[in-house]
Amino acid sequence: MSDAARTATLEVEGLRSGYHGVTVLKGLDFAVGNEIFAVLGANGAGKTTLLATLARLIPLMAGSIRFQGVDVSSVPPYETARRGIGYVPQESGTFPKLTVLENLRVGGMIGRRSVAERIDEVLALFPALKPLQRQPAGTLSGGESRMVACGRALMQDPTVLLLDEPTAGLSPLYVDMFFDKVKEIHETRGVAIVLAEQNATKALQVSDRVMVLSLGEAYTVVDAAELTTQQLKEGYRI
Amino acid sequence: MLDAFLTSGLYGVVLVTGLALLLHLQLGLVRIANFGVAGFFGLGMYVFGVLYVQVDWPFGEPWQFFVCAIAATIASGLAGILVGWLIADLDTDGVLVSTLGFATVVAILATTQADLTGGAEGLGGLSFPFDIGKTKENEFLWLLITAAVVVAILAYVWQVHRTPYGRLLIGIGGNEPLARSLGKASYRTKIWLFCVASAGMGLLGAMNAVMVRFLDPANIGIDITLAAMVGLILGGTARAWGAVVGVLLTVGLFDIVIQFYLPLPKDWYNQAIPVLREAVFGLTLIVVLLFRPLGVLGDMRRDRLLRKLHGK
Amino acid sequence: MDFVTQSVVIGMTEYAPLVLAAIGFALLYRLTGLINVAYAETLTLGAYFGVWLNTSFGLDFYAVLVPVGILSGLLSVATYLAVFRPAHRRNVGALEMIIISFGLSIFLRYGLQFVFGYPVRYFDVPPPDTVVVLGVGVGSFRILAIVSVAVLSLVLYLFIQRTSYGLKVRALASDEALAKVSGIHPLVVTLLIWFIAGVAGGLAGAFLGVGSAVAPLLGWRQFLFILLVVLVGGSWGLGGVIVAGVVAGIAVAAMTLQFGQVLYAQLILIIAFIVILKIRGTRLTETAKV
Ligand SMILES: Nc1ncnc2c1ncn2[C@@H]1O[C@H](COP(=O)(O)OP(=O)(O)OP(=O)(O)O)[C@@H](O)[C@H]1O
Ligand SMILES: [Mg+2]
Repeated sequence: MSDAARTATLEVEGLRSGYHGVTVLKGLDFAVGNEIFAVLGANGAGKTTLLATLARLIPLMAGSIRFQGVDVSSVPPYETARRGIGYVPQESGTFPKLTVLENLRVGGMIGRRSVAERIDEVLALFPALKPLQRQPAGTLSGGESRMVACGRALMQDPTVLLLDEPTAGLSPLYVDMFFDKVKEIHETRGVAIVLAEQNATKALQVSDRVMVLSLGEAYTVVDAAELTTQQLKEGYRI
Repeated sequence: MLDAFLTSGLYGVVLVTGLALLLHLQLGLVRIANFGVAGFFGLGMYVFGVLYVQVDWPFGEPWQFFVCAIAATIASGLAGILVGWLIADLDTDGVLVSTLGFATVVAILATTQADLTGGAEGLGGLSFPFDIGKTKENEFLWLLITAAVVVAILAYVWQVHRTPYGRLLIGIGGNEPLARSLGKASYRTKIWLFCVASAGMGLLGAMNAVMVRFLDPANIGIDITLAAMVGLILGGTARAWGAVVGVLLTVGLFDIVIQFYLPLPKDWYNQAIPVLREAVFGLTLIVVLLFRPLGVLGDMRRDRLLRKLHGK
Repeated sequence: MDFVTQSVVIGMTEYAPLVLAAIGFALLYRLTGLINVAYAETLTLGAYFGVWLNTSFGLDFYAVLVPVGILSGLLSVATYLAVFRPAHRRNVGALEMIIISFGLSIFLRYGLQFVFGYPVRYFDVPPPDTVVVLGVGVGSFRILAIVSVAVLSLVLYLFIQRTSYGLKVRALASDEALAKVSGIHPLVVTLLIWFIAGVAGGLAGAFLGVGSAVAPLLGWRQFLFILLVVLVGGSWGLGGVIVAGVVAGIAVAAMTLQFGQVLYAQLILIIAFIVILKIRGTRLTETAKV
C-alpha cells in the first residue's frame, strides 16, 4: 500500500514532542492515508503522547504535522477538530457531568449536517447507548463510556479519527465488538483511523498498516500482513 | 529618644512582623491561608482590654497586666483550637470562609457587646504596666518590650524549622493525604498549630492594646490581616526571615520611610497615603504571586542544597 | 401583622440583590473552580457605575440597569484577562489564586479610591413608591429587584441548561482538554462566563446601592454572606444557591425583627453556616473513605 503516502491525510515529519523538557517522541516520520493505521508499542513507548500531539494537545518540539496538505503544527486543538481531526483519549474521553446525549451534542457542534441525524447514526452504531441517553456519562460502565467517547468524536464528522487504546480493560466480548465497530466506521464512513493499541493480535486483524513504536522511535512501519513476530518482539523489547 | 511618630511607625512594623511570623507557620509551612489574623489579634486585644478596664483587680501593676495578658493569650489560643478544628478537614475554600467568618464574628461582638467593649465608641482607660516618666518614654520602652516578644517569636519559628515538627508541618502542607497515610495525625497537628499561632496573635493583640490605650472595632479590620499577609508573601513564605524582610519592605516603607522621610504635601498623610498603602499592598500580592511566587528571599535553602549537589 | 409573613417579605425583598450576586459568584465558582474575592468589587463598581450614569446623564434607575450590566460584565472580563488568565497560564495553585483575588479586591477597592476619591454617593432617584405586599410595605425598587432576580435566574438557568452556548460552558467546566479537542474555543467561552458573572454582580450592586448609600465597602460588606450562601448551597447547583440565599435572607430578617439588632442576626447566620459546612465536610470525607 505504498500509494497511501500520495493520498495521505496526515503526514508527519521529524516529529519530536514530550513533557517539560522530557523528549518522549524522538523524531517520527510516517504518513496515514485513508486506512486503519495501527500504532503498537509497549507500555510507555509513547503511543498516547503521539496521539495527543496529533490532536494538538501537546506542543511539538520539532518537526511538522500536515493535515490534508496543510501544516497544522501550531494550530490549536479546537481548530484542528473543526478541520476534521477527531480524538478519543485513552482516559476520560467523556464529560462526566454531562448526560450521554449532551456529550454527543458537544461533538455535534462542529459541522453543518443535522445534529439529530448524526445522533441517530451514532445510536445505530452503538445501540447499547439508546437507553442511556439521559444518564450522566460519569455514571456509565467502562465499556459504555468508551462508546460515548467514540460517539462524541464521530459526531464531529472527522476525516481522521485518533483512537487511543479503545479496548483497554474491557471484557474479551466487548473487545471483539469494538474492533468490528472500528472496521465498520472506516468502511462505511471512509474515516481514516489511527489506532493506538497494546493488543497487537487484534489490532493487526483490522488494520492496513502498522507502526511499532519503541521508546519513542519508529521501530518499523509496514503493511499489517507483513509484520513478523520477530519484528514485533524486538519492537516491544521482549 | 525617638520622635513619638517614629516610635509608633516602628511599633507597627514590629507588631506586623510578629503576626507575619505566626502566619508563616500556617501559610508558609502547612499552606493554610488564615484570613482571620485580625480576629485572633482582635480577640486578644479585647479580652485584655475588657478584663483590664472592667474588672476590679485586687492587685496593681505589673500583675494586672500579666494576668490580663495571659488571659488574652489563652482566650485566643482556645479560639485557635476551635477554628483549627473547624478547618482541619476543609479545603482552601472552607478555610477562607471559616477564618474570615471568625474575624467577622469577633468584630461583630466587639461592636454589639457595648457594655463591655465600649462598642463603636471605643474603650479607654488602659495604661502602661509601668511609668518611667513621659508618655513618649513609656511608649519607647513598650516598643522595646514588644520587640523582645517578637524576637522570641522569631526564635520559636526558627526552632520549628530545624525540628522534626517543622518537617511534619511542611509534609502536611506538601501532601496531606501522603502524610496521613504515613500515620501522621495531620488534623491534630493542624489544631495544635492553630492553637499556638493564635495564642501568639492574641498576645500581640494584648500588647497592642497597651500601646494604643484605646480600643475600637476599626482597629481589627481586614487591613491587619492584609499587612501580615503581604509582608509574608513579599518576603517569601518558605523562609523564617521572609516575614521580617517583607514587613520591612511593605509596612516599613509606608509607615516609616514615606511618613517621615519623603517631602509629600501635608494633606496627603490623612487620606491619600493610607489609601495608597492598601492599594499598593493589594497590587504587591498579585505581582509577587504571579512573577515571583517564593518572594524576594525565594527558597534559599533549596538553592543552596542544589548548588551543593551539582557543584558550584 | 404576623411575624412570619413579615420576615418572609422583608427577607425576600431585602436580600434579593444578594441572591443575584450569589448566583453570579456561584457561576464562576462552579465553572472555573475559582473563589474570586474580587467579586465584591464588581458589586461596588456596579453601584458606582449606576450612580455615575444616573447623576451625570440624568438617566433614571431603570434606564441605568442595562449599561450597568454591560460595564460590570466588561470589568469582570478585564479582571480575568489582566490577572486570572495570566495566573492560570502560570499554573498558580488554588491557595495562591485565592490570595491573588484577595489582592485584586484590595487593589481595586483602594486603587480606585486613590484615583477618584471614591466618596459616598447616592442615587438621584425619586423616593420609591411603597407597595403593600401581604400587609408589609415594601419600596418599589425592592420589588423591581426581586422581579429582576427571578427573571435573570430563569434566563440564566435556561441559557446554561438549554442553549448550545450553555452546553459549551458546561463542557469546558467539566474537562478543559476534552472540550478543546471537541472544537470548543476555551477563551470565548471563558470570557462569556466572566461576563455573565460580572453582569449579575454589577446589577446586584446597583440594587444594593439604590436602597442605601453607595460606598467603597458596599461589596466587601456583603462578601462573606455571598461566600457562605454559595459554599453551603452550591453543591446542589444554582437552585441550591437560590434556596440557601432566600432562606438565609428570611432567617436574618426574622432574627433582626426578634433581636432588634441586625449584627446578632448576622452573627448567628455566620456560625450556623460554618457549622453546616463543618458537618458536611466531615461527612463527605468519611463517605469518600469508604
Ligand atoms: N504528563 C507527563 N509528564 C511527563 N512524562 C510523561 C507524561 N505522560 C507520559 N509521560 C512519559 O512519557 C512516556 C510515554 O508515555 P505514553 O503515555 O505516551 O506511553 P504509552 O505508549 O501510551 O503507554 P501505555 O500503553 O501504557 O498507555 C512514558 O515514559 C511516560 O512516563
Ligand atoms: Mg497510552
